[in-house]
Amino acid sequence: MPKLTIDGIEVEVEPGTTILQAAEQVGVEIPRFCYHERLSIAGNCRMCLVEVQPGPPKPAASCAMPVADGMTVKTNSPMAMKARKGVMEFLLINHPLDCPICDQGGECDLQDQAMAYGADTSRYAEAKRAVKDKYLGPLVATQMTRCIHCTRCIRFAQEVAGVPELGATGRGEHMEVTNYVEKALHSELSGNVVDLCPVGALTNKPYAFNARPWELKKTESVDVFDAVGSNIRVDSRGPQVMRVLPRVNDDVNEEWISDKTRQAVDGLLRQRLDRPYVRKDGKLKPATWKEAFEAIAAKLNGLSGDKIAAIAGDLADVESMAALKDLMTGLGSTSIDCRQDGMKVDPAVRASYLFNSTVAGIEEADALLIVGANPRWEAAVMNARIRKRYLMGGLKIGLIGQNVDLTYKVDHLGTGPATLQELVDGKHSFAEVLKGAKRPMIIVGTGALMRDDGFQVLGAARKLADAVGAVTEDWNGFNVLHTAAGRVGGLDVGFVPGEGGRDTHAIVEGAAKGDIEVVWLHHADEIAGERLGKAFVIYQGHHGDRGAHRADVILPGAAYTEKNATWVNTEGRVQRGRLAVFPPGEAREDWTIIRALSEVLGKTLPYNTLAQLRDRMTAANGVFGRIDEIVPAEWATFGDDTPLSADAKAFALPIENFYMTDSISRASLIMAECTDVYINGNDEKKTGTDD
Amino acid sequence: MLRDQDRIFTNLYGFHDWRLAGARKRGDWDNTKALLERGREAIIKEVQDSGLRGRGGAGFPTGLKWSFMPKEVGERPHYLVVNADEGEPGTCKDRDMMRHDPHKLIEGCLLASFAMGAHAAYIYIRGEFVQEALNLEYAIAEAREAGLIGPNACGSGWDFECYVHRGAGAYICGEETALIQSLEGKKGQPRLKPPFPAGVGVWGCPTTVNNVESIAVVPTILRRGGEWFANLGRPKNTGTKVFCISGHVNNPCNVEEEMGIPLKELIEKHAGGVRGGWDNLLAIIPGGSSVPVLDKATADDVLMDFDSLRDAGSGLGTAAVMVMDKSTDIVKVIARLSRFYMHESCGQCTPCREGSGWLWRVMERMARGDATVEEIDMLFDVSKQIEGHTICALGDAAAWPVQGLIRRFRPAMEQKILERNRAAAGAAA
Amino acid sequence: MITGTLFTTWLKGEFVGKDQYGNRYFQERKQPKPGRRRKRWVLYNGKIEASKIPPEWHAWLHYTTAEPIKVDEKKPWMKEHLPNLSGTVNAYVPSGDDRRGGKRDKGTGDYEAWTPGS
Repeated sequence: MPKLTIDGIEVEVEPGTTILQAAEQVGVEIPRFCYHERLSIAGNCRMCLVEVQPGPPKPAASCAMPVADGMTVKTNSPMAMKARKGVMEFLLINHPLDCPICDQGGECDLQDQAMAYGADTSRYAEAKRAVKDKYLGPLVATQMTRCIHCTRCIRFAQEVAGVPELGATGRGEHMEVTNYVEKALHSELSGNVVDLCPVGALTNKPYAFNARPWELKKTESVDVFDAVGSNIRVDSRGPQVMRVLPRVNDDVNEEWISDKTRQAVDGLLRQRLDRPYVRKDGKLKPATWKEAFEAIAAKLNGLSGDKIAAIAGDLADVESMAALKDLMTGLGSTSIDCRQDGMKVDPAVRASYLFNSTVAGIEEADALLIVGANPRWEAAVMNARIRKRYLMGGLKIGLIGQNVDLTYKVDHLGTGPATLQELVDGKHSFAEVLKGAKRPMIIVGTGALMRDDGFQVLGAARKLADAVGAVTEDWNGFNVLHTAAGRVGGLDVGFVPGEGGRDTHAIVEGAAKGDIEVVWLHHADEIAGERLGKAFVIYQGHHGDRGAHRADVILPGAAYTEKNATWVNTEGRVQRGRLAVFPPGEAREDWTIIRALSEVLGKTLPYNTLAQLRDRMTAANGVFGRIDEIVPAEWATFGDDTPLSADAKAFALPIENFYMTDSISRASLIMAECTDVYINGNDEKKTGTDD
Repeated sequence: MLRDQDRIFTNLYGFHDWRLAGARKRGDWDNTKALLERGREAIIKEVQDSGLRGRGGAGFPTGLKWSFMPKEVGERPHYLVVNADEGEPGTCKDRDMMRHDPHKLIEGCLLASFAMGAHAAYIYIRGEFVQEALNLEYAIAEAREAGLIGPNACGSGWDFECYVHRGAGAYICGEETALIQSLEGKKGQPRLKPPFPAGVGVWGCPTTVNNVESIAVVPTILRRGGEWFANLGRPKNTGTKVFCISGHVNNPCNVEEEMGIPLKELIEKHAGGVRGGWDNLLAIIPGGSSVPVLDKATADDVLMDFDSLRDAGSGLGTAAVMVMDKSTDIVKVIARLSRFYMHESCGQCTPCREGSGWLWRVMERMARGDATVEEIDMLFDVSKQIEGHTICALGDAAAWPVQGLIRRFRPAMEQKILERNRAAAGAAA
Repeated sequence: MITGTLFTTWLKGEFVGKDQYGNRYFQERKQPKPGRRRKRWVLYNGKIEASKIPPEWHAWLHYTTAEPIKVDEKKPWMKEHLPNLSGTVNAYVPSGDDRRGGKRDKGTGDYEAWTPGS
């Protein structure tokens, strides 16, 4: 291992480390603009110049220079300082002095570093450069005159997002970062270029001129728009969530988040349920909490448990599901289900519904089979991870299902269960690829499991995993890719039909027939109201979406930014979301509503604080006591072993529109605009006369 | 003074047939098989012994460069790339070689490729060289037909192909890594070094990039021996060199001469002397636009080779001698060069992208005298902030002419500023 | 109106002028001793309210100008002087106030509540 000296500190680092990385290890910070840990090295901003001995008598770019044994690096020598001051002066001569009206102000790398290396006055007396702004879609605003040509956005689009739509045209000082044609940037991760841009050239369009970074309260939380559980930071001002930024977590989202995660939060201000409602004479009327509880109590009074059911939706947190389960048990009902799309997994075997390989584990896989999923839409950040692994080389990817563009090359093996059955029987050539791999991965999507033959698909995938040796002592290549943030949490907390209980399908059927008289829709918006017959519907949620319209009693709950809640992502990682702002109006944190109602019903739940409730959850399932850890799941036999029918219909995808998947994103105006641009294809810039 | 029998480029002026028949008459392709049979090591050794230094400008020993290539061909093939993107203002030597002596280059490609284990050579030719590219392609077709290249080239058992790739007119694509990028179909921008092309070059494979002249002299060196070549010129600056003499001389020309010839002798003997006599000389740029300018006092006795010119504060570069007599407005000349570098900067590194434009704008004002005397110091400081801070040498090339001007012709700049101020004061009064 | 001021006015005052509101302005009749200024004062028309004095007289009253400013020509951009209206029915209320319809611009944290359609 090479040993070198940085500013008098001796350090031994891995071979192949760059000087800049080595300096970071010893706590010496070297300024940079173009260098980014997760992108390729460009070495073009020249801000990271340091003095290196032995070597030529000129400074070297530390971001690109690998360390060598016996190197002496000086990061603050007069030579390095002069070089940096020179570079800073060059950057500033053509950078507009518009910090007061720039959205990046206060979180601008150039601003910060100009404090350290900038001169107090400019020696540049010539005309400054001005560059025409570009159109990059509804999420990214551009002020290209501010661009310092670090090319981070170009490298991100090419390497991480996999959409080579950004590039540079022109030479010298006429170089411009552009997307060549005036069309929106076609990526689900496009918002990340805003975070990457070290200056105010690319800024967040919906957030433009809304707030300054120093007036925002930062709350570290977890995303719920997909099942990846991206780590986010919620920036709020007063009672409003202003924006969402990614938080670094190398095991989950690295430092990217999807556009939906970032921009759908404006939906939190629309269609909100801010007071209880009770249906009187066929009409929903505003009510007090007391009236709402009494209406429920009146209905439930004397009703036997088998006439009561509860369905939990995609945005339900673990705490409220645990409380609701306890309440339903108290009422004598076992008909509870957290799978409103009717997905077939085995709740008794944890390995049957987890992404067992883990997200970070994707990087170790050497063969991948995707069954009935579109990771690009169902888990955009995870798709970037698969692409990262793909770019490392040596990964063969097979796809069964709809042949969609996943930003990497896949072998499209087939569209339906028949192909999967061929693989199980070893009749397909891709089975050999999986068999030959050391760490094969099989990803089964929700689309393949929410069918009537879902158990057979599950069983077939399990058999395939066994057959190709995907499950060994230190590797489990069987993966289920969920789309709902509340799903794994619901399964882990046991929000599934108990003995003699009905599942979602049976509950809906029962309600239509009249066997079920009360249905509790807990954040569940995907159940069509008219299918519930004459049942008395209690809706608990935060948005006036599909569920609320059919409800007889509405209990206003809190959205994910408004409660302290536990979420379990598709890998089975238990994470805590935190309260950033308070729920609007009369709305309350969800578990407290259920706790208060239990008292009215005379089935008082045995916990008064969140801590007590969490203790109860941990007692029920140990994983809830292990925050941000992966607890490997025991491998077992699950699913239906009946072979799949050869003429079964093709796998459908669970998501039709990436930008609108739940009540929050459906309420968001920005997501509506994204739908128009990306899904409907109106992706060319509108001119002034178009509107 | 080079004897006629020691000349390598015997058809530099195109007086004879450039096709295969004519080339054979001049001794090209004469028993190339025997040269190849000497083996890789021997060829590299011979070139190293000859002391041949790269003719593209930097003067890096060619044999040493070849020896950096991996000894064994691994998974990735080796490539030779010939840099024929001759864009340096004042330089026109490669052009004449390719037009009038293409077979020298092709034979050199075969020998060099064999020496470094490459089966393919790419000649990256400047797009503006239309006739030269046509001649080269014709010559390659002729050679292939005659079995000199192609499978089992010259009957040696070595398969060799040679391709001509036309550039699109960017000066920066003459830089070796930018040339590689351009050859791969990417935007012509220099790459970071390390890794060097000998490790990771064209399509990630080991590659050597050589100038046309460096490759074209190889067959002759091998035929006549490295010792013969080493005995020409001065120690460490051996052999012959094609000089391109342009500007205020009576007889602008390309001429092959021994290295280390005195500059004055070169101009007097071959170019018919400076217009109006040697005393009418103002300045000489000895090696293409990117080297600092020499004043007359230095030009009087400087020798034309790498080391002497470096000691004189300039460089041999591509040996493009640009002569300026006293009628020249030297500030305007450098301002024009600054504009060239502003225009040709690739835009990748900050100092070159922003600095070259700044230099040009200030130089334009200097040429009009519309500046202050203090700004001359600022200009020097700015050029120092560019020099050595960029990925490739274009930043240095943009800075050096300005630095040379300020070092040697500062009075001329101050004079202009004073004159303009005086004129302005007169107009005001 | 305070009797003392009336008395002083009768005793020492010299009438200078009258503004559009009927306020009357006075100064000392006699030249003051060296080092003292000629006192200037106002007798309000009606209720004593300092903000009733228009700017041209305000300047004179506070010794900013030697003579009251004469407005020869009314420019279109000149507005009528108004006394302080706070506490009266004519007082300024912002557009979001209930007395002005209660409609205000959007602010941080405003949300659109759901209302049942049926």
